[in-house]
Amino acid sequence: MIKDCDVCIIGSGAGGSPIAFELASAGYSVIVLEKGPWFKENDFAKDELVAVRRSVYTPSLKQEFHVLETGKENNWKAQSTLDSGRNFWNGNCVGGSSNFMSGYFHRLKPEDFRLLSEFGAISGANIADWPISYQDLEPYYAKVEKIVGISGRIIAHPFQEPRSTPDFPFPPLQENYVSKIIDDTCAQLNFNSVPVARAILSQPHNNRASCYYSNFCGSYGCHSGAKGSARAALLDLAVKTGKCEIRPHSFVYHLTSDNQGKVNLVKYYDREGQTRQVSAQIFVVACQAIETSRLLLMSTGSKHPEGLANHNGQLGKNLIFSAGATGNGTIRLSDYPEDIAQQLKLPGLFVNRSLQDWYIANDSSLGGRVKGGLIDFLFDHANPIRRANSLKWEGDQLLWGEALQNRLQAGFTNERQLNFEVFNDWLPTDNCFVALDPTNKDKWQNPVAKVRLGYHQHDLKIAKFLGEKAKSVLEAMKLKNITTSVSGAPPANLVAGGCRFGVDPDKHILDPDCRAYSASNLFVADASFMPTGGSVPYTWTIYANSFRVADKIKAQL
Amino acid sequence: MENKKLFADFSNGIIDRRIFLKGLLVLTGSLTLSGCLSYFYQESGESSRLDNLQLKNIAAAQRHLFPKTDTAPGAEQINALDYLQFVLHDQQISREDRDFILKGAVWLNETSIEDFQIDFYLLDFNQREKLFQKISQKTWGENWLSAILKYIFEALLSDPLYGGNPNSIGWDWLQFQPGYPRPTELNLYPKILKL
Repeated sequence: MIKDCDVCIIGSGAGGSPIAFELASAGYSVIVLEKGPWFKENDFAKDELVAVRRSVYTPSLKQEFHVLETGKENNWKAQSTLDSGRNFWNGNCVGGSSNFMSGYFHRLKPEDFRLLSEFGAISGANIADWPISYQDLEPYYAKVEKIVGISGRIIAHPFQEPRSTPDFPFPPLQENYVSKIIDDTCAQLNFNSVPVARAILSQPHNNRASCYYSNFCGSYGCHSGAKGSARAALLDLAVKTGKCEIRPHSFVYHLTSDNQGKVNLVKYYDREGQTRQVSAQIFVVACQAIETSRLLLMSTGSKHPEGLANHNGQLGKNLIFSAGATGNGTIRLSDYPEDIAQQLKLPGLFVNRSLQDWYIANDSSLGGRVKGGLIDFLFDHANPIRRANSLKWEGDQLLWGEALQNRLQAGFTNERQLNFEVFNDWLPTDNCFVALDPTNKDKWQNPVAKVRLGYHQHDLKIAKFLGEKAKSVLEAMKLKNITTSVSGAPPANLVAGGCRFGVDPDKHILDPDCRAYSASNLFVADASFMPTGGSVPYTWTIYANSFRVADKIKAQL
Repeated sequence: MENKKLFADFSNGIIDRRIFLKGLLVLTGSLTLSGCLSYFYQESGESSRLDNLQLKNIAAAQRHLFPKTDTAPGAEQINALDYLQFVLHDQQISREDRDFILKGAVWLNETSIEDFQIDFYLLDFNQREKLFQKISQKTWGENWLSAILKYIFEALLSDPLYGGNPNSIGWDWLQFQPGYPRPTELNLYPKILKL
């Protein structure tokens, strides 16, 4: 029987797009089904209302929502995001949330691939080694640098991961004067200030313009194409091959399987709500971790009574996020000489500094050698409405009138906020998973995802340790109003797990190639495969693994 | 009494924001506000509208929260009231949130009549200040003032195409450089939702 295409990919973000690009470039026919719209670069204005303050890039909670369970052992409280107003979606459009990332790109370290054997078990955590090593993924990290386009510079430091090339293919982006102050301060503290690579072009590449330093990057779509979104960097090229068709506004609700257990059809609703379907030789699911588990759980069949690929009951289990801390301090411009203040005030230029000195920490307060994490420094995003809202409070007192106006004027004209973000492992536990909610339905009458958001106390201990290190830098810089915050609340945009890969079919959903053990023509290519997440943002690793999986699919076709 | 319990439950995290806001609407029936709800909705039952008294009271509240000074534009200069009406007709914003704006205006005026025996918009500066100090100690009052300020800031700092910030008066005052490209009629909210 003739199939509609060789490969059908569900989800057009960082997980699905490298496969679309690689397969279409190799001459295979590809159909990509994307739930959201297809925004083009001209649609992306620097409009805070659109990008930040209204649900334009995410579904309306009235139509689609999650049920989130928070609490502690034996005391979990479920609440829908429709009731709480807490939006747990990321970007739903062609290219997915990669359109709206800031593009802080870090590789995992070799130790991240063997967390269990390197650091041992932790009670209450389901830590596991990966079935592949850093060396297996390294060529694909290098490939992402070239194809997606990563700008930066390599310096020697204790936690520099091994590389097959000496430096990044694109030079670093321009930096604000504050980067020099951070470097000088860290040198005084005997810390290694490390330049941060960005998935943002510093030079034109593949018909994409370089960054024009708009000052509106994170949460905003990129107007020049400089940001390495899956849409700009990969899908536009895939479509140009003539072998890749992208179908926006296509919500997939079921993958049907035959009596052998293999997937034979994808069923979806189009923009008008009509049911449509696609047949293919190979199917790839990459809807971001929560929605991937949800779709597979909904896709029951005679060989998959508990959900597609869920032969061992592990589907949706061991969901992980990124643990960490945040903090900030105020740079009061009037504290600096006029020429320095003017440089610090310049909008658009990047900070691009990190600390990795405690990626593996050896400290008596932590009980010796343990897995630590990463600290990134960045300016507060430019969003003026959000900034004004943050300035209307003095402690817990609401300001208004001239007092408020004076505060706004000082905040906007004489201050900049320097933030830090700590990334450390969110340990996988039995209390963090995705299931189908038994009662709540979305607008198509499908069960919504119910997500339990339990975390391990160890995560907070590491985050607090790293947060104090970051705080010491802000203090040494003599910033004002320094704050730090450590929380077990997960960031919705840094999610992985639910379909672990591994060598044991009894324990794992996917084999080391990210192929489903119980459905040999099904691959999962977003961050769902990750048994542990490392201590960096996931996007570079998702891209790299998807390029790796593309090679496995080519070999199978 | 029920009113107090509702606010206490919300403050203590016993009920969530949506139930709190819904509860406020239910309580409307127990307050002396007969007929008020008819002003809130168009026949579609979706858009939230201001009646004349609410319009005057909210305008006065905005002027007090964000007055014109020698250096700063005031609520009137940034078209804050027109902008708020755009918000109240925005069906992407939850009906509970929009209704809370209207309900707060009713409670504000009730408090004014209770304390000063006249409508809020007729109060002098000191009376308004005293009243704001009083209601800001209550959960509903603080939330309402904060919400009104939130939309004043949107009027002050969003793109002039949305009706506030005329001639970039807000950006200029705060020396804020907007990002480029700025939105056009083609990709403005909520039109962009149709793409």
